[in-house]
Amino acid sequence: MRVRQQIIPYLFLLPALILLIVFNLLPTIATVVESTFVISLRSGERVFAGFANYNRIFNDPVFWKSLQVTVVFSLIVNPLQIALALGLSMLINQKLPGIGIFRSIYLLPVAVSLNVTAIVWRLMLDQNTGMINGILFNLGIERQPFLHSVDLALWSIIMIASWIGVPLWSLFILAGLQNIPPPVLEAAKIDGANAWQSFTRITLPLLRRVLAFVLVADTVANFLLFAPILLTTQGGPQLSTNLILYETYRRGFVYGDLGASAAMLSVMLVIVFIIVGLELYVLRGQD
Amino acid sequence: MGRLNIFGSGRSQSTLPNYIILILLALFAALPILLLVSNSLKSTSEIASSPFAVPRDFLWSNYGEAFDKGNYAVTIRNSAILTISTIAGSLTVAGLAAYALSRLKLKGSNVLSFYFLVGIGVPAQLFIIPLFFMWKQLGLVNTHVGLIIIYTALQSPFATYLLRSYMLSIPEEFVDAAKIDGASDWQVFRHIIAPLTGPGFLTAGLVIGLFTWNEFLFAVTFLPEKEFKPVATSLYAFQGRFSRDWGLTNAGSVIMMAPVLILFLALQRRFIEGLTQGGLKA
Repeated sequence: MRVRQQIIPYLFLLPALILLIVFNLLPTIATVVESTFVISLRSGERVFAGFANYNRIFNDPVFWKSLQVTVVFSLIVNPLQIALALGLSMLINQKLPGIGIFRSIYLLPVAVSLNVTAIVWRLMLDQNTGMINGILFNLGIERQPFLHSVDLALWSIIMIASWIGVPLWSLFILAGLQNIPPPVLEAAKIDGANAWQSFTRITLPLLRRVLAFVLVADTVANFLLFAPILLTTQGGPQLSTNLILYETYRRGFVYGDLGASAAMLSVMLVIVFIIVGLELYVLRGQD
Repeated sequence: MGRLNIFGSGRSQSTLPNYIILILLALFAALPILLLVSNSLKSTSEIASSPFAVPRDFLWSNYGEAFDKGNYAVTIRNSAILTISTIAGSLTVAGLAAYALSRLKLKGSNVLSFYFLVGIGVPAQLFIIPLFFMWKQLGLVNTHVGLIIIYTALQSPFATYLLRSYMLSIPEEFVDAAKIDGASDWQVFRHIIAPLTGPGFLTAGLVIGLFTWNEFLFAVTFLPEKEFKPVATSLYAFQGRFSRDWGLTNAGSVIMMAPVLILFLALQRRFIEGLTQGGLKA
């Protein structure tokens, strides 16, 4: 009877745990194992190759270029999205007449899928017929090849990702803002704090937990950005938007080079573990 | 003189600059969607010649044609099956797990909670290639069940996390009273915790539904067969086949977007409330 009672809680947890093991633990092991095998050219069989795949990708300029693009992309897109999301959530948290309508409009992109977004923005950014270039042209600015120039393509991807990302993360921050009791902010005001002081000393610290969550989720989501690349630039021009998950996917499924693909995934896993570990450390730091 | 007023709640400054920013942002958010809808009522040649004018003769026939050519009768059904099953599966799995983590005396509950956080942080996208070969061996590629299992696994950690925060905020007295009356853990979950967590389930369900309806990477990989494709990936195939017909592509996009957009708008307020009450407590 006592044993049964001790087992029951774990039964509630069991389905979730099985899913976590099957979809997290086993594939991690499978990926790392796969990364040490190559398909032999002579016999066509899978043979153990130690670090051969890693050697191959570490000597491959395409891999390094892809990693570099991903790092640059992440360093721009994450701070940008979080700062804008914070601003947007504060904007729509105000009590202004008609704010409800604006709030609904801003949150519209959240419900739109990334591939519809990619289709729309591909039209909007078209060099000849796109709306953005139409506006630029009317302002007397030259038409820009947004998705076809090495200098602009990554920025276009950043904008497409942020069109959804900013309102999405602002939803979470908005929820955090609404959790701050108004008397706290009023008290600060009575004590003579100006708007900036009460923002940095009260609002931000009280949002730390939500911001940490948004930081983790946003970093990972952007690290794994895939659909907009496939649907707009396909990594080009000249690999300037060849983000790491897209490169991995292409190696594995298009070129059938599973060893290299698994080695890249293992590298990505290490990176994600480090980032998530660091960010969770921040999350824990405040308890 | 009015300056941007988002930092405080003072009413002294003019609100005009606020409204200017609000309107500019609204244009940025809404224009692509308006453009999509407007272009869905044009012919391809009209889109090319005047891409951002109001449609000349409102080509409603685009919708019928897109619906037929894009095989929407089948794909919408497929998407509905995937979405509804994933919501049901994830909420069940996550609800039970959240109950165990928040309410039951569990050895190592902190470690396990932490592992669920890691599960959110290390999503299955990273494992798509080993998963694909695993699923192929199990005969689960090109089956809805196979993808539903993946989606459920993908969504459960976040849902568990959200629901756990929710359940932690339910007062202990409710549970104690029931236990004194002799209720089992299952009865407490079924009759007290689950009903009181209703708004949390709604919020989590909406997040899961949005994700599943719009998901692309797994759908395109695990359901290559035409008869199983959901709207998200059939739209992509359709876009390739009729790439020159932008009118149809746009109409097809609107058909895909409309149901979730309307649902999300209708439930938006409750959705934010759900996130707020959940409070995302670690």
